[in-house]
Amino acid sequence: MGSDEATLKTEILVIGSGAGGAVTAATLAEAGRTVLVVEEGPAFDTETLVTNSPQAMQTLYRNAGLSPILGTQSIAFVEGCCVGGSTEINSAFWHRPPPGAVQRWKALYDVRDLADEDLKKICHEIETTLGVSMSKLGSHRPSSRVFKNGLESVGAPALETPRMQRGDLSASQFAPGAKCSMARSYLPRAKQAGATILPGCRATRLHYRDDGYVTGVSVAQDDHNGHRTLSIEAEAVFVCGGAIQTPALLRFSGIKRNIGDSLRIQPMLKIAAQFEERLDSHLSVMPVYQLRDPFTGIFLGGSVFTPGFLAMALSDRWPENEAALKDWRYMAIYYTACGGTGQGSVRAFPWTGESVARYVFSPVDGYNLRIGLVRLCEVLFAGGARRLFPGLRRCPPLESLREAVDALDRPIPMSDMNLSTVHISSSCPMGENEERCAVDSFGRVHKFYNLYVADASIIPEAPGVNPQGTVMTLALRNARHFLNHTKGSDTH
Amino acid sequence: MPSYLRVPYVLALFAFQGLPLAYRGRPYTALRPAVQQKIVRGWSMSRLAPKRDFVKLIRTCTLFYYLDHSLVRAQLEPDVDNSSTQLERAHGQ
Repeated sequence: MGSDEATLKTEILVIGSGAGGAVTAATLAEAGRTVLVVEEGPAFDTETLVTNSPQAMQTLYRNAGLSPILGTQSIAFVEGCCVGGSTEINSAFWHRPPPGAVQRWKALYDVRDLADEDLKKICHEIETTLGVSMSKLGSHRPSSRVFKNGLESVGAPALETPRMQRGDLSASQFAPGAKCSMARSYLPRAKQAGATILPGCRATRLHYRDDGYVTGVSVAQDDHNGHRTLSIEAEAVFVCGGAIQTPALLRFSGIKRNIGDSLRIQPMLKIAAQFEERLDSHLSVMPVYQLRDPFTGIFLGGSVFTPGFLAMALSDRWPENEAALKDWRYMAIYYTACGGTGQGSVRAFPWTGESVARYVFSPVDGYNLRIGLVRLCEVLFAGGARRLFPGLRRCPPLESLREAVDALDRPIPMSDMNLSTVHISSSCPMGENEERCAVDSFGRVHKFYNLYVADASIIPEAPGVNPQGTVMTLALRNARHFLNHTKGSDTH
Repeated sequence: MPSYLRVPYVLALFAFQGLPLAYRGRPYTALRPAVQQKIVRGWSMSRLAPKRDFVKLIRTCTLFYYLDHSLVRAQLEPDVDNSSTQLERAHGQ
């Protein structure tokens, strides 16, 4: 380390302030520990902006929203890079860890002490803090109503998904200030309990001894005073940068065992749907109904809608689809997603340490997306759609279920699909099975004594739903385990 | 965009601009709009994924940033107090 580095000391260092980092920081600070949180992105009051606007993309999103996952077919991926992490920009849908997935994690990864009853209690506690509830008006909004009608017409259950909200998110798509993100829930609690949050600080490298103790972290700080380097010494370090940034930081620091080798994603394929009736989807909350088949992991739901998002959904065949844009008030965007049975990797780019994520699809992913697309077409036509524009490079607009079946009843190359994802996980899986796991059952990195991971990385396999609930549940469980097994200022 | 993609992106920009020189005698930006559209269409339907991805990146960014720009939204929906405009107001713009 250079002699011009400023040095800070703390008991607990938390890297990242998203769903995992915020819960960890608040839990440890409220237990009397001295906590410092470093966050790469800025602190921004989302009371003043719609978090899916172009301005917000430049302010709150990593690389202004341009962070592709590479592979034979690149996948559009966005994540937050601000105080509160991706909880500031997501849709605030709440899902508990699926019991079936938890059973699988216990069986295949040998995760200890993951009892359903304990998880339920933790979930209930978090749900109370976040105001998890159903929308008061969202279910009556047109884009939700037509989707619900479609689901009921084909005999599928139309279940509303609760959201994390203090006000009512149905007032608009992203009513500023209504969403109960980390910047409005756990981070204020952490600060209240004495934690310090440093925005604009990017952890660049962990320093550790051969005997398994992390001694400090190098941090690059950018603020109005310019750029400087900090060295932070901590008794315990929690890395909470998310399923891509966390493995990149660990690997760049030389910690590589089972790190970044098993990235999982939930690939998503969108459809723009045109209806007879005027929906004005841009004025209302995104569709609040979702459908998930627990056996195949195929998921159907509604997506955020603005004229810009609609144009992106139509862009694969833009010359043919451009004319449809004039009917944007009659349109909405829906999606199908699947559990993702392929596998990816995360590596740190030499010299810069930037994350490089790759993903290889399995043939099952392609099959499930195709089946999901047919099911979605069925639901939307049953709900009154007149024309559908699937995100497929070689598929023309569809005007009937027959056309949809004819077009989709054959293998479709993944390279023809306009894929995106917002749900990634499992790049540092947890469990006692050291052959395949990076961290133990409570997030401690194997072979280390004071280095922990608390984010979507440790989820052993993709939960098949929005992972925020799972991340927060595991983070709270693991932080409490840490408190029970270490004394204050005695982590070593 | 990540820094490791910037170099390939700039190279693709140069290729996109310069390749028409070889078979049309002019760079892309000096061609007639109809010819430009034909080239864009060719790249977007190319069998080579990098060519398709390049056009897709520019097209999606352009469409999103144009159509969701507060001034355009204000034209599209004059009856709605656009929240992006609120942001700019908050920033004193």
